[in-house]
Amino acid sequence: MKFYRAAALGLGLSLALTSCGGTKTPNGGQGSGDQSGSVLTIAIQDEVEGCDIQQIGWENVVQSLLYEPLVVFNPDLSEIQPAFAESYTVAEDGSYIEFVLPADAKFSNGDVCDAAAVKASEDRFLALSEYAGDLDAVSDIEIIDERTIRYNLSGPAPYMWASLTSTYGGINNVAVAETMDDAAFNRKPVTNGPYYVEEWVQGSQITLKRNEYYKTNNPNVTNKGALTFDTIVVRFIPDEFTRVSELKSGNVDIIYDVPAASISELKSNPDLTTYDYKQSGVSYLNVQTGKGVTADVKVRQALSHAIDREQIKDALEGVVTPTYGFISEAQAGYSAAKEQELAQKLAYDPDLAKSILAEAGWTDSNGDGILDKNGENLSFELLIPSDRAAMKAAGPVIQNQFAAIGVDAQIREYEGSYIKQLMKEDDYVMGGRNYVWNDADILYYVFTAASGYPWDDPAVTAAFEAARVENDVTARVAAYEKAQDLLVDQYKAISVFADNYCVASKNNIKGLVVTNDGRSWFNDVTAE
Amino acid sequence: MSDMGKYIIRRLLTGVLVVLCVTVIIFGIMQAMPGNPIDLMVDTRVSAEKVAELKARWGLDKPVIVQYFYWLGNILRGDFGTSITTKQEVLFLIKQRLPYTLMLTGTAVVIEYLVAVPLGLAAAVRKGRLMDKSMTVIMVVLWSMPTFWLGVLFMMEFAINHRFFPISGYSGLRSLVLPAMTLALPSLAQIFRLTRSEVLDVMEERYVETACAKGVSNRGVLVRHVLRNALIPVTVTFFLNLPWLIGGSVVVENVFAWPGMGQLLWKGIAKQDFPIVQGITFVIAILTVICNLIGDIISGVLDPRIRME
Repeated sequence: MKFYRAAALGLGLSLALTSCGGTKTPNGGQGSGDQSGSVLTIAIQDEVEGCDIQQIGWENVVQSLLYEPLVVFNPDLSEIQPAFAESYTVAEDGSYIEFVLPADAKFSNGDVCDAAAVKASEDRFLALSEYAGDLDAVSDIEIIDERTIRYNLSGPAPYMWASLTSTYGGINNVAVAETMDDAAFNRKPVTNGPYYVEEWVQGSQITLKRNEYYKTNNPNVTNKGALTFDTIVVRFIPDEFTRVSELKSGNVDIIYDVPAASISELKSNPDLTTYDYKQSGVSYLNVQTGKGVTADVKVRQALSHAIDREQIKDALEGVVTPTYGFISEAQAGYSAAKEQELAQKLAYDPDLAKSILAEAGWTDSNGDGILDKNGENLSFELLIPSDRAAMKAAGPVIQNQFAAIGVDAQIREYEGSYIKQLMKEDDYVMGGRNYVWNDADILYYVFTAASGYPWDDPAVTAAFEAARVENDVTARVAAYEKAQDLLVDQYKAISVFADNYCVASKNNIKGLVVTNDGRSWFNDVTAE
Repeated sequence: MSDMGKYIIRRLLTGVLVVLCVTVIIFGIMQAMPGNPIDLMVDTRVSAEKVAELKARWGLDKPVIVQYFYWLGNILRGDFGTSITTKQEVLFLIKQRLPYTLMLTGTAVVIEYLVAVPLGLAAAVRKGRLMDKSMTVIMVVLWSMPTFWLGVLFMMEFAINHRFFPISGYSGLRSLVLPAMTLALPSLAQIFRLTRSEVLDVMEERYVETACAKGVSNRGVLVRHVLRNALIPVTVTFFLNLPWLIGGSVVVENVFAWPGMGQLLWKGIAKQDFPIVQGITFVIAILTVICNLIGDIISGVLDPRIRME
């Protein structure tokens, strides 16, 4: 019995050691579930790589709470509207854009945010950001007066709007940035958005405090001043089950990056509200055109007709939307008419696919179920990005669809970045890729020499170059329609789907706006 | 200089070589990985010129050997470099995470030893009886449990169904219980089996029989003769395991959103953030050498026969 007692004592001691302590809530006592109106808790998957929008490569809800761009796209991306700026004008000849700032604009630390401050911030963006190329058409930035700033352009550059309207268009207080090193400013930037960073516990959470000086002219929100919540805690919870459990248990108020497998469950939960949005881009199969079995355009055309996108959507339980063109409805430049036209042109038709292959000389001469020609099987490696959940799940479905027309696609799963490298080295036959940007201009960086891929077609490049500098909205959409036609005619890539995403919140959280392209506006958010 | 002094210096010099070898291997493995951190990091719309500029900024355009010696030179001066993805100093990131990792893994180790050693001793004393057999089965079951599954199970039962503990994150010592238990339980078996087998071996020794024959009480024999000798390898194992505590536990940290080194190391590897991976492995390598040395010295102190050898 003594040994049992010793063992029990050991176990008791260890438990006592670990279970003593406070009774704070999971977010440091700041709020899980505290709905007194002062704290909002948000959970996201990945920790931000930094808070200074000019030093980072990807952004999420944290940066959108720290920065206010001068202008914003309206929810359907058809119009540019003022946000931080009071108004803006574009020169008739497209040679400049002029922004008028509010009279009493300030940064979160109370410093004046005038034309000189905005210019300093934009200059820093051009010098520091990896996305400085987005503003390559800006020849210089001119201060007209204390409240007016002019971006002189070397030529028409409507593609700039996507950057200017995004979080990357937010303003940094450069006077403060110059007093510290970049790493320190990346942890605690002084900005013009609705919140500022109070504390960043690495690997755990960021605590944001309300910017009392914040004002906006965004016509899409009712509250134009400081936001309701004193504090927003953004927690980093990488595990999907844990993130969803925290929401269902009421410990967090809003979760982003809702896992695809949980979307339907959360939608049917009466205590929760979900907000849907779509991938600002598409997931597609990049096809080798220069060598191998897909060098023949007929083979690429047949493969395109062999893909049943609706079946993929069903197999993935609706977490994707089939696409046929290369611009999703969550991107500026989208044309519903063109998408419909391409849906008919590229419709799933396995019989047509087989006949095209037969026409190209591919037959099953030895009866093994795989088409062959001159002793070579119609077989290739299908590169699937393991870090893209939807494409990873779609891979086997696509493989089966190819098999149904006698094509042997062997799946090889790699990290997306490795597939990108293989494509840059021209060492691939077919592989899954995707892009995300809320403007069709991203296609210029995907399907021209600017991509770094060896593939380049002068006609396609010329079409995208023409589209990206077209100022007139209608003409711009038409230019992208033409560019897509040229791309589709060569079957260089096969558009497959756009991901459907979801944000979920507790029912008592009201007023959150999530646009179709995934932007969130917290200005009118309250807790009931 | 005493023999012990010479021994320590010899081991330390060997340790320096070991650390250097580890840095070369890690550097080589990271370089052998497909792609590079800049290509991983940048978005599609970043121009090729900008990508080249970023590679130059991080010295990735230089020959691998130059990169290695540049990094080694810096680290010897105490400069662990800057993370490519977060632009933060690696030492700062390690300092931020280390306390949480030590808290989690340290608690787990304490639980392991406090539970496993008494149980191992008890099982050995009752060899072949119901308690021994049942404990052995339980330990095998615990050993076989995947930590992510055990973590989710604990979370569902003790945090979601019964709100005894927080689901995830760090918010005081209560939030430590579930991740520490998840980490500790599967490892209990190792210490349990080691203790049990060592105690059984020692109990066969003649000096134990002699002590019994001399009329020493059962408790006295077990504590003074059996346990003291049986715990030598257990103690050494403790020190050998210490360096790995610094690395944290990727799985448990992920499940419980614990802000430790495991997550940092994992993300560093996934994003090929060389400075982070090399910085952490460098620290682990040094600690391994030091802890091995401490383990050897302590085993020598505990067992004079080892010191003589």
